[in-house]
Amino acid sequence: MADADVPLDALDEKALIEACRANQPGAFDLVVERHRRPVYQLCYRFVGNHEDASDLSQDVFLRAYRGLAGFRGQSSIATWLYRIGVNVCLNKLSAKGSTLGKLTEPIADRQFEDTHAEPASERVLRDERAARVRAAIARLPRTQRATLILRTYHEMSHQEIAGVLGSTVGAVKANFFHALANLKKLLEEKG
Amino acid sequence: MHLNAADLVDLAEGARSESSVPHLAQCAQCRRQLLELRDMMDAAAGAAQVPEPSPVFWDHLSRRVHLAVAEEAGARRGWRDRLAWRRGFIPASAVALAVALIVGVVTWRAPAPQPAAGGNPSTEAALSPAAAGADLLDDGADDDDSLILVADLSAAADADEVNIEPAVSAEHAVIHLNGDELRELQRLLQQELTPSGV
Repeated sequence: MADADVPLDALDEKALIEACRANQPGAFDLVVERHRRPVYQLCYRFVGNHEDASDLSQDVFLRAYRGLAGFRGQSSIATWLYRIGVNVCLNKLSAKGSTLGKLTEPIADRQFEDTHAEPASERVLRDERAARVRAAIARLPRTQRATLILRTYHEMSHQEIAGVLGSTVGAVKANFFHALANLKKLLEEKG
Repeated sequence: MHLNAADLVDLAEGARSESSVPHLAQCAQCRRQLLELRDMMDAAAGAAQVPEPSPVFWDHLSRRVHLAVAEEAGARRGWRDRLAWRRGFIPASAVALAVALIVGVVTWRAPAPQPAAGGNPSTEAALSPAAAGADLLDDGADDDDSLILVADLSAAADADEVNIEPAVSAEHAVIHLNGDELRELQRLLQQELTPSGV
């Protein structure tokens, strides 16, 4: 049981989870505050648009809250949230079909990016290429996509990804290899 | 034999040095695959940036989650309250039913006492199950659902239909239970007093 006299900020992960389980006011809010950005980014990388990523992020945290009793602390909170996030996103993709209608934000909508240090022409080229790559990633098979996203953008080890996906390290490496090979084919298709 | 996917990934990520894999120097196909793998890793990494949402978005997301969690917690409390009510209600009902059955059985089986001349006020006070039920209520226990149920059930028992002699008291009947009936009464009471774990 978390000590109610200790500020929530000072609690380690295990104690924070205990505080959440004890319904200590603000405890789960702190979990959300600490992890909302990477969870949102994970969701965004799966669905490619802000609206869905926002809804999915909420869903991830709500499922995490429901699953607090089952969280045994064998992995970090971040890994646990990623596992939930990947499941939520893959379920969403299954429900919507292999791809979503709106894969990426229009470049003009990215008004909050800090792009002052880069010439406009280079920025446009970079953004277009990035948009093509994101669209190609969105067409990858689900497990390959999840593996590529977790490995490339969330810097998870193969072991951690295996834990998230309920797989083996060998299978994760094979999926990563095939994801990159398919990404190459998809980018070549688009020219 | 060519390098497998895991070997190529380890080489592309730098987990293994190329010099540790002599095959690579001899196989153009594996070298090409490794090169393509590295190119695609760079291409994917170049698309890393997620458009940053509005600065107010993060607090908005936190608020949405907070409200959703609060709603969830409220719904859970509602279920817990209903379950707690059921947990209390089911044993109370079982006890009430058991008591009603015992009272019904023992009064039905008990021999009819001879009416005393001039009447006995204490006997007359417990003439029927309905009267017994009324007494229970008169003892200030009228807020207890289980006792109300016993009273109702007892009152509902039609003395004529089950051939109960009117001047039999429940107390008298219990005192005169035979061995089997006492054991059954003991078993039922123990069953009801033991936590059910519902």
